[in-house]
Amino acid sequence: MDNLGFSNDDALDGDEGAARYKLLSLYAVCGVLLFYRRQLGAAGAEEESGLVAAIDECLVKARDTYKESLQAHGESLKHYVAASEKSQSR
Amino acid sequence: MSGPGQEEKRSARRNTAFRVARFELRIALPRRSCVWACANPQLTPLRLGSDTIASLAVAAITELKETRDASPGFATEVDDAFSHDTVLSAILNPALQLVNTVDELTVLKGGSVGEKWDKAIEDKIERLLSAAIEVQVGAILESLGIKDVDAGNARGAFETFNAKMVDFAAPTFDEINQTKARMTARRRVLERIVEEYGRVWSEFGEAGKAVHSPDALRQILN
Repeated sequence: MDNLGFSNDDALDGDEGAARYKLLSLYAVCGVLLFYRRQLGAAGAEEESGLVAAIDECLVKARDTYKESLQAHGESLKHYVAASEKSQSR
Repeated sequence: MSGPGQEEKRSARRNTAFRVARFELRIALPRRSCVWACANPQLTPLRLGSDTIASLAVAAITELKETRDASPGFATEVDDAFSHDTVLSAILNPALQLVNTVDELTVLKGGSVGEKWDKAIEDKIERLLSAAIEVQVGAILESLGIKDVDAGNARGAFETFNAKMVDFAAPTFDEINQTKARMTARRRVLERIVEEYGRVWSEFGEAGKAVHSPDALRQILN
């Protein structure tokens, strides 16, 4: 389990739908954080302010988790197809 | 007042509402089946045909692009980690390694992956088609008797060729579902047969008393 509460269990389980949903959610979270960060900067918020620092910290964690998830998703495609075929043959 | 009859009616109405909601979800979220499945774990996940590496790759690329386009956070590029190019590389590099059919590669190409990746996919389609065509050409030339012709066997080779051409049927490439690729492969096989026949004909046509010129053969095959 990573710092944002997302795990790679779905990739390991071969659950492509759940893994893709989490990847999309992470990407959307990154977009929201980027937007807030930019708006705060435009409004003249201090770099040292607690809110800006917290958003920056979240953004770094979200970005790193997203990068890992994206990489894992691409590398798990074969695994997802095999799991899908297995579940359909049941 | 509520009797057993009314309870049954209420239950039937609930079931109908549930079925309608499920039907509407299926209509409204055809490409968001993963979202729907996660939000409604009690319902059977919607499956649209069989999953393939190409279809899963295209789904991920398309939905990440949609998420990106819908978010004002990505309006200004701040970090390469969030770029669409990074998504394409992460998904298409492994997908291209794994996908080995013309049909799946065509699905990948249909995912609006940009010029650079289109070229890489087209190159792989060409490699697969060329290999399949050469296998067919080799087998056909052998069956028509003009694979290993020399001055000594030329006459017999052309006689065999003429006899076999009566029943000749061009390969159908049924394993390729894409009509355009299938027709291209078929046309290229016929062109290669005419080319090989022309090579043998120019060398041994006279000695072997060949009946058809390469142009005549092209007419017959067309």
